[in-house]
Amino acid sequence: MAQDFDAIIVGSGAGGGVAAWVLASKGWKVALLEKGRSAYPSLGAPVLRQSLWGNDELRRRRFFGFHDPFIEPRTIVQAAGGQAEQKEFQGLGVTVGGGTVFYDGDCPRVTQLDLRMLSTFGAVPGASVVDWPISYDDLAPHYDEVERLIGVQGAADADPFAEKRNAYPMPPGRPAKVGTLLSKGAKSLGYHPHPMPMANNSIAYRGRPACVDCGFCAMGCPIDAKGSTAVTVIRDALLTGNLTLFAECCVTKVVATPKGDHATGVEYLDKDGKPATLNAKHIILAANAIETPRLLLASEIGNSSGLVGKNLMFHMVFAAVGTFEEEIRSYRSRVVAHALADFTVPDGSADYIRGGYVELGGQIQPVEFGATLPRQVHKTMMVDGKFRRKIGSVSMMGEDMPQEANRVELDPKVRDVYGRPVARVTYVRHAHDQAVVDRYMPKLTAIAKAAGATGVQEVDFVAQDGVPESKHLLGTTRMGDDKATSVTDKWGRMHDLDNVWVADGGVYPTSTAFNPTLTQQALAHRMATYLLNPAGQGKVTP
Amino acid sequence: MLAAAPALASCRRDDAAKTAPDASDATTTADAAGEIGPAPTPIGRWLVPQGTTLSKERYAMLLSVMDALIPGDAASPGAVDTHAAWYLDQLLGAFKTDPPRIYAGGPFSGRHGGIDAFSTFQPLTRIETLRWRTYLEGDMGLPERQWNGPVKGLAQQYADGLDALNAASLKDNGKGLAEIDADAVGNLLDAGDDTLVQLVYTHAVEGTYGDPVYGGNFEQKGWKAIDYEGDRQPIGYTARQMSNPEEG
Repeated sequence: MAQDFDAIIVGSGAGGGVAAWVLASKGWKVALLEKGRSAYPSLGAPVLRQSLWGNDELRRRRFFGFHDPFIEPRTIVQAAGGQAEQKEFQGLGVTVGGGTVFYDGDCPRVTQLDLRMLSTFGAVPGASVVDWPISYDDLAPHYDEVERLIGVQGAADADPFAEKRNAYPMPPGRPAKVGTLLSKGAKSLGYHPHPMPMANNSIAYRGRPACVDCGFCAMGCPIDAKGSTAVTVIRDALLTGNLTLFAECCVTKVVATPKGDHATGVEYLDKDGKPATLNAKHIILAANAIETPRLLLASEIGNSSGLVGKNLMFHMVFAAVGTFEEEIRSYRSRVVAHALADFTVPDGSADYIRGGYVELGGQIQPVEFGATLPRQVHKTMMVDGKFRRKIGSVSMMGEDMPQEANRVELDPKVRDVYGRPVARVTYVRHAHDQAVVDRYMPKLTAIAKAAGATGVQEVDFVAQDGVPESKHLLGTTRMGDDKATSVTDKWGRMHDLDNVWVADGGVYPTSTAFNPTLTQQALAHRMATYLLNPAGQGKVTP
Repeated sequence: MLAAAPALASCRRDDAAKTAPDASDATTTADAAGEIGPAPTPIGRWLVPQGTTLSKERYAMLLSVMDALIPGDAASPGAVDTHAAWYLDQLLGAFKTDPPRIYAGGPFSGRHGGIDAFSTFQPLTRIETLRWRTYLEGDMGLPERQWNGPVKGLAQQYADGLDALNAASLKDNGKGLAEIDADAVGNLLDAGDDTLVQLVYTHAVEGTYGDPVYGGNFEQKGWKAIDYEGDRQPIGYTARQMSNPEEG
């Protein structure tokens, strides 16, 4: 069969963008299919024209370039044996650059401990804890490369719990007041706060300007100071001439041979809604850990283990939110400027293993804040108390346990605008996870109080009848050496198909204690490096 | 496409009376800011601007509801003063212009340097057009709008919700929603359908604190009320503004 491309990549976010660069930069002809629109009139031109992002909450609230639950609903089951309900949850960017357009840009690395949970701590009843089939040393050179490509700021020796590493491409950016106060509070309790490693330019970097801390990171960076894959690796790949970008093209099926052990291409709906096909030697799925299993299940491939969609993990994200006497204006900053890793180390409890990485800061803009308030307290909170200007938060990304029962399936009834069955998610917290929240919430509150905050509220959306909203989508195509207990191998290739690869957070066997995007990108970089030259065993070559 | 602005600064009939006592009779009138525009229509407590997408009667009802949800006072403007009703009406009538008034342009508003790109609204993609027409207008019996079953459009949700509240007002007060005072409106909202109340509240917040280019946040009054700077690109904040925000 004639091949249109060497590789087709489905999804242009964190992992897909990196894979596109690795392959296109070495001469592979690559097609990158993205369901959403491009916000860049000239992404592949020698001079990058200004984008369509803006400091504007309303276009984000109207789902510009974002997962839109009106056209792509999802359903969720949040209690064992419970009913599926249609809710808005875990939306990521649906645009060229995917979630990296809207993310904070937090870029911590994992540690070797994160990859050895089973052998270090043993099994957890009711959870499917495993070791990763790779080590930190396997990832380290790929971390270095990705950090260089997207531009990451940080201080190499500032976090005593991190693995030894080289200098970051950029020094830390300007401190935010809220982070400075919270760091002081954390230090007084004996913790080790440090500048958050972030994919935001602290200085001009590779043709993009320094961040001016406008505070609207969640609405897309209008000056391209954030290292989304759109303005870094995808743009670089387009400039090679080897990458073809298919924006507004929704992949509906991965086409495989009758035996189901080899893929020939994809079916998709083009910009005009017309069905079309593309063929390629390799298919790389990077649609995210909800959308990739949804596509695999709809394509009826790759599931001899029965584990496609299972072991879905989100992290527990919970926070202590306090009010300061003095002006904080936490929106005058990139989203998070400070962090600490003290709680990623076990404290010897019998009820849980450990907590997770902690963000000192966080921000919220007025429409979002006002709309979530009960209307009766609107004036008190928005106007009288000047509350928005004085709040600061401490939040944890807790490591949640993998459970086969937490999963993505196809909803039997609900359809999306493309006519496809939507994703039905089941996510119920493990007792371990609740123990982490119960144990660490008071510690977060203590940090806020030590920093001078009063009236501290403890916020745990999942326990408070809300939906998980971590934006960390992990685990549904977990990697491992045994094809009976995993979906992909240690390179990210599906056990069942010799030319289908996964380059999103789905390959995570356990969720780790850290924000996941950079690790997803390092995994995608490693996968694509191996794909180029299997004999090199993923070794980075200049 | 420049934002269409309502022809009067205040929809409060008592405000207009201060500057134009004959407002109810004139064909053109000076508004509260002293500008001349087409005559607004007085309905109950309100002056309804020309060119609304909602019927004039429902627009006046909406003003009553928004006024009760986010009331204003001398120190801070409410949803009526920030033109949040006009904001919602602009959304309902988004497809009266081409491109539709859904997504402002990028990257800058021009308020802090750079050109004003926000006021050039973005053309919609095929899927976005289908999405927003369906959301605003409902399925209208078209199969391509019923991917997940029948859809009642936002315009109809507002019409039905406001009419029901108005009927309740007539029953309880002997007067329509546009005529009763804010306390009486509040009583109706507490007893009424919370779905509509939440919908109006959300749009009132968006119209109060969202970017003015969408028709609300008149003269940035919403931002000023909470001492908020709004969009900041391309200048952002200085290191000193970040570390010493108490200085302003």
